[in-house]
Amino acid sequence: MNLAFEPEEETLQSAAAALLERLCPVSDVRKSVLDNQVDSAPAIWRAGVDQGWLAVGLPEDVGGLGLGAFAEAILFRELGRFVTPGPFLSTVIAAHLAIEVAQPELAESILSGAAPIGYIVGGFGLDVETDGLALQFTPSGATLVRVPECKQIEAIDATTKLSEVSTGDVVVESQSPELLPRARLLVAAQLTGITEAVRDMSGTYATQRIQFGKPIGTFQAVKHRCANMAVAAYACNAQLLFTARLIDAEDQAADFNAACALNLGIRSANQSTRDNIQNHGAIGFTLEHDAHLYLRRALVLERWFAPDASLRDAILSPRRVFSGAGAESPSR
Amino acid sequence: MSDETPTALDDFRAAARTWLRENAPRTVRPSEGPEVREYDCAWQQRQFEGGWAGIDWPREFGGLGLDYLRQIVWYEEVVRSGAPTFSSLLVALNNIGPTLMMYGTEAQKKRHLNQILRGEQVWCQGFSEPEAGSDLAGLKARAVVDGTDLVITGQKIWTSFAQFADFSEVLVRTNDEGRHRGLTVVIVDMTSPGIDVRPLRQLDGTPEFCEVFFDNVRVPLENVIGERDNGWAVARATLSVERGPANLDMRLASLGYADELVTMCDEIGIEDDGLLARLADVRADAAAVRAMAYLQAASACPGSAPGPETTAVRTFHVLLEQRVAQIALDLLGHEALATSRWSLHWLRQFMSTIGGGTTDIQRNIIAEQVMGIPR
Repeated sequence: MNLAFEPEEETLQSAAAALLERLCPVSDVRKSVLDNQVDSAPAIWRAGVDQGWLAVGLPEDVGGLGLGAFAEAILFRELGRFVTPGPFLSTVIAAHLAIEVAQPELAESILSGAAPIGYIVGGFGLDVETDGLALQFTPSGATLVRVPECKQIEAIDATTKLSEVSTGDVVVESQSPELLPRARLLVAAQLTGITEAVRDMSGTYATQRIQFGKPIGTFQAVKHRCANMAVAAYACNAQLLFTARLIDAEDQAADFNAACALNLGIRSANQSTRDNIQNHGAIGFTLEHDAHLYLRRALVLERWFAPDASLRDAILSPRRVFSGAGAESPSR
Repeated sequence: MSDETPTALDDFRAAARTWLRENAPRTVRPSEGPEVREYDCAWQQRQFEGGWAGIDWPREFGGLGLDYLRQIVWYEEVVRSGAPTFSSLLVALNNIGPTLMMYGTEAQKKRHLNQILRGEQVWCQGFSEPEAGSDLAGLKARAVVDGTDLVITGQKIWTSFAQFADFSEVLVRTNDEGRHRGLTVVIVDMTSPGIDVRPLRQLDGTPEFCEVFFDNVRVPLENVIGERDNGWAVARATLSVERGPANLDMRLASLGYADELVTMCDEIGIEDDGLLARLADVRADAAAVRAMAYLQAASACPGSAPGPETTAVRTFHVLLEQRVAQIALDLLGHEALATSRWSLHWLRQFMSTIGGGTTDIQRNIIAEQVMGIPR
């Protein structure tokens, strides 16, 4: 259980961050929101596909990079950090779904990025297109459904194209238990990236903003909010990477740990994005500042899965995670 | 690690689990009196004889010279087996040992490290004073050079296990030239004349920590750890070990407690969404504590003090401990009014956010030393 990065994992992270900084920095995302210019298949989609982002965790025989969930988690952490628009998550999970139902040609076609796959939850479509495909989780697994029509509506998170949808035919269906933990991991990864981003934003502001002749970070209320973000980010990262290794090892503890990772990510991003606005005072309350982007994206990610008790159950149902011999066997 | 077989770590875990199943103590650890020391030393001795002591300590000091990953695995199995995760040897094993390895002279390492691993020496840490808690550098205990000795006069407080200790790592002022400069860390033999140990009663009733009075206590200069007048660096190293990778078995215990709480909720038939949500959060956080140990293992540099980011682990954990205790108390309902294992545990957890550095101080350290936010 080694959480240190392999060289190709380091490279993946730095290359993704460099590409995002160059083609889709947060300032551009902020401006596009202000100008009402966000669409669901922006330039970063093509660039990311070309760099292999969809392929990171998919097997090599369908054109994947075969780097596993650990590398996917690292990538999606960057996508969270940069509040990157585009249906990367639903498309990646759809590719995994295609593998699970033994349809390699479908996986290959998804990996080409030619047709981004949107997402449906709670009656809404996220980054869906008319006549496109969308991923939808069901109580027993996950499906790809055709979207016969969709009508875009105004969203709290303008970087995610939100639509009212009607769903059409189920094109593919999978009962694989692997998809939900992986999706939870990658949502947690983005939430971790968000937590880190606002931690750094608050840390910088606390150091630079002067009031009463001193940096505001010298005042303990601000200082401690920043420290809390750092603690939360450290915990999220650890749980994220630990879970990713378990998924790659097909460990039976992966489900439980993925649920824990998502739980941590939701709580950390929620508290941290709010504290980040507070630390910035009134300027944090403007559209001209980046802080709101993270708050809104955290909301979307928090609602990524249906509002049922399944996350809580995944955490509470193992009687013994840790005590006694033969731990990690579910009791219910 | 890469030239190991893939199952090597699993084999280690399996061996640990088997040994613990057969050798973990079968009696409950006493809560006060000299029996505490006897129990703790006997258990440590048994671990040493079984070949499980000092897993990540260098071989030259009697350890197994293995990586921190294996130390984590051992601690996981200790918690799983129900073996004690608290001991009067904790200061010696977790704080003093690494401090001596970093700063001790050869003679000091030879005199103490092996014996600590064998369970033959109990240590306490003489840092805090009545007027120097969070502001440790404001301490007043003085040590004056007299020939080849230091003579110490002063008072320490909140000294855990002083009533059992053979030795103490004591922080004293030897020079008035600065605030952090002029401090010295010295090993004090607790049988020296002039030492008076008075146990104090904690909130949960146990007399675990003490006042310790030093009245012209003579200590050879060769007992200084590190440089005279430069003891602040040594003290900081001790504190950073305590706040970082040390005491992992106590931290992993939270996962075991979470298991107990889940079982309790099942048995009572709790349906309260609020309480179940809190329990899920607690269990997720307990899982993260374990993950953080593995993350620390990935970034550890053996032989040097852990970086300040590891203070995040302790800060995270002590807050978790209190929430665990609170849920247990809530589950007790009116039974919480009587003293019992969980209600005493709840009282005990008030120390979590105070001892070893308050969470307020720890947040300052994280903000200042990790994030670079100005003081």
